[in-house]
Amino acid sequence: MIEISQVSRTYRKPGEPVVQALNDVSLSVAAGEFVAVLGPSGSGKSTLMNVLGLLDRPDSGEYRLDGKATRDLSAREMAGLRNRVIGFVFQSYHLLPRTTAIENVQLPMLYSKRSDYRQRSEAALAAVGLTDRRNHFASELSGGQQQRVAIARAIVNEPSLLLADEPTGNLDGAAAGEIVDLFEAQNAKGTTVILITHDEKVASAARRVIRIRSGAIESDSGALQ
Amino acid sequence: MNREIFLRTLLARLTRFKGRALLMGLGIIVSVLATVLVSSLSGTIRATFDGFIGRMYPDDGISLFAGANFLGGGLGRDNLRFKDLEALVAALPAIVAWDPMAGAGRRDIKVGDRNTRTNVVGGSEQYANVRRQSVSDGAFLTADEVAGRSRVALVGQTTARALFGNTSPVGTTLFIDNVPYRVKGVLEPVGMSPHGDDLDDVIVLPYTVVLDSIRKVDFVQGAAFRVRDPGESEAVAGQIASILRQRHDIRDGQPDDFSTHTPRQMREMVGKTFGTLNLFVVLICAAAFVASAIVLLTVMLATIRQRTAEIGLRKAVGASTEDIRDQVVAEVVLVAAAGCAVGVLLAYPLMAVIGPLLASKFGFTGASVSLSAVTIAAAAAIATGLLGALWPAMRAAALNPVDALRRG
Repeated sequence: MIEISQVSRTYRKPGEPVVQALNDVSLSVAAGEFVAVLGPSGSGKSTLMNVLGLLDRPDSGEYRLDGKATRDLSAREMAGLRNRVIGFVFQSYHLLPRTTAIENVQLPMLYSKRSDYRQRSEAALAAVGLTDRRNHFASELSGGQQQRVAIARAIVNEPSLLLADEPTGNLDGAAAGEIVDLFEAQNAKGTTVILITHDEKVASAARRVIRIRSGAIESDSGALQ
Repeated sequence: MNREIFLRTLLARLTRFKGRALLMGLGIIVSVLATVLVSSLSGTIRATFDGFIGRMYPDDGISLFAGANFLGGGLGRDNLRFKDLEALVAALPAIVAWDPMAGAGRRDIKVGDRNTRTNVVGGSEQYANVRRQSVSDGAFLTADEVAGRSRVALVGQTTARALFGNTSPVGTTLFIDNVPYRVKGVLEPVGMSPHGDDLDDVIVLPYTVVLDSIRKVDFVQGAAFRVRDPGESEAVAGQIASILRQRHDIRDGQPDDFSTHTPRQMREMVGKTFGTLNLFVVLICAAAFVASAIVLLTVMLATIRQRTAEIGLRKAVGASTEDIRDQVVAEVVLVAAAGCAVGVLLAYPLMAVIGPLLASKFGFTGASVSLSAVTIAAAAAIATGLLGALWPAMRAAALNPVDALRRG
């Protein structure tokens, strides 16, 4: 599913020290894996997710997604892959304000040309158990509910890769547990899940744990055989 | 993009962010309203002027005014004799009818205990033919009455109403400066001049009476001629001028002590005046739309700054740069179109108030919202939307998703 080799990413901002966010990282993730990436803040795990999610390009190194090199993709092709192949879940949910739950779920389908968007979005919302909140505005939902809407949005196009950046970071234990359960359910259906977290308990749900520090992989519990 | 979701979310955004939409659209609403009203009214005023010019200066007519000033008066205003007119008509067979201009100014008119002050003018039996205004009641002046200095009068509609109410004045007597005149007829209504003068507040007497009995002068203020063929009027006007210069001993290089006006000249003059007026209208409307574009631009830029995280998210879920650009443009243009619709809809009731006011105060009748004005305003509104959207759209599209998401 994912193969990166010797990927580096450096941020340079005028007047600030150069940040080596990723330093020569190599990693491969097979289809259907559930991987947790653990690391302290500033370790480069968000940069890793941005690179894997085709939101950012590495300065050097190779990234192959589904066996295809991504280096020469145009911005439009990358947008297409983000739309169809990848689903994102963020720590702060990023739901649209004054927009209903179901409309938030439909957002990715605005940028694709599927005619069955109604059924698919209803199904995705049902999968996270929020059908009864479909017409609530995001601001009327609890944090856990908002994140579940965000997950429904991430899975609505049935991506093969789910990327989550600290999805439980803003949630209490119970709500966090529900979110992790949803990722496990998606993974059980064959979706590759990469979950970035600094919470060991959340990471324990994953079958593989990668620890990252100062832009480099510190340890890797190894891919499933 | 999925067109159905696109349109639905676009409309939802407009209704859920009403305040912002109103703020953005306000400039457009005002600009469209002003443009529709002003250009509709300028069309109405133009039509009224054209109607007036057409009636005062028909295609086969030539007007002659005494005096060096434009449209009469000034140096030599007392230099045009009745003999001059007779000589012109004798020398120019193209002139088929004519009528002298001999005004007596505003005079005190009395009927019983009612009185008024009204413009008294002199005319011949040709008045109706040359000026295309006959009587709606009674009879017109005859050649005998003109030649015989008969004390007969034709009364305009407004004057008749003031002096006689709703009864027919034909056959009764009215007094001008205490001299009695028999009322022969009531003139057909003509309405107001574009300057707001009531052209129906008038009394027409035989010009002989005006010149000999009232004013006791032998010069006229001018004449109206009617030629055989409208195509001749320019040439005949030239001949009138050369004959008059000769009769008035005006040497080469000296200015005329009269002026001639053909319908073409009058139309050109009106056209020029309206050209200037229209230029101002266009400039003012354009300025309003430019201001609206700046409002759109400013509000949209602020909105995009607020919505940075949202744009980042949209990119994360698959929006391309072009998608984001198109969404911003569509949103602004939709606001502009909605503002335009509101402006046009407001124009109708406003016009319903302004129209009758203009008709009663200035005689500009038939004021209505013109379709061409609406079309122009709509085109300007959409162009303004596009203009205001351009920069914000490019700014939004250029946002880096990683930075945008982090800032949210």
